[in-house]
Amino acid sequence: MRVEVLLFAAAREAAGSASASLDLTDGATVSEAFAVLAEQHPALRAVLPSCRAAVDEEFAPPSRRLTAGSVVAILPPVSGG
Amino acid sequence: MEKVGLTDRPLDVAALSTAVASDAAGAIATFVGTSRRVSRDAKNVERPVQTLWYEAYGRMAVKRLQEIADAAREQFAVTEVAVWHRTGEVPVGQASVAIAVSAPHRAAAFDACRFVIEEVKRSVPIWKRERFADGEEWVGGSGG
Repeated sequence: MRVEVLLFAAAREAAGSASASLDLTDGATVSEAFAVLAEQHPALRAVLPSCRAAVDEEFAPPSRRLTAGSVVAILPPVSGG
Repeated sequence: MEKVGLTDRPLDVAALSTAVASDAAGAIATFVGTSRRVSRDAKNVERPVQTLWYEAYGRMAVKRLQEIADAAREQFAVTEVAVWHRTGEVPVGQASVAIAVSAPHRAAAFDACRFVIEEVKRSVPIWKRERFADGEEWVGGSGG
């Protein structure tokens, strides 16, 4: 199944792109998506461990299962305010 | 005006206060976060900031701002909550975030205002980038 990935701030810069598309096995988790992303973009390996994920605009734990068409956002530590 | 939002224009605190005004309120508390001239690096050495940029995951950030405003109204029995965050370049000294809370009494207004800024810093997908004379970098934490 395919899922869409959105990258922000330091993650976007490391990847050199604001978005990506991942081909994952059905029922893959957020954590598995991170692993595939790190394979495709080695420059993200230093950044990903500190990032949280959002799935379809809600924070999601690493164990969250994805479905086809899920939008997974890679969120570095936030620093608004 | 909408009670929550993102804008790449200067924030209007007076308009925010007006947006939460109510006959039921005896107090309006406001908080304005401003961009700071001096930053500190990992070794706690001061570095002068030339300008700041904020990047947001816009759709999720607006959802989180609304959820935080709703939570503040429920937890603190306040009347209205408004919170706006700026995106793009924010010159040093200008407001990056503005909050207004109206409530029957001042204690709840202050408490809810504090709750909103802490939650914004903890859980709204917005990132600050500082530009120095010798480079730029993302600010990594919520120490603020």
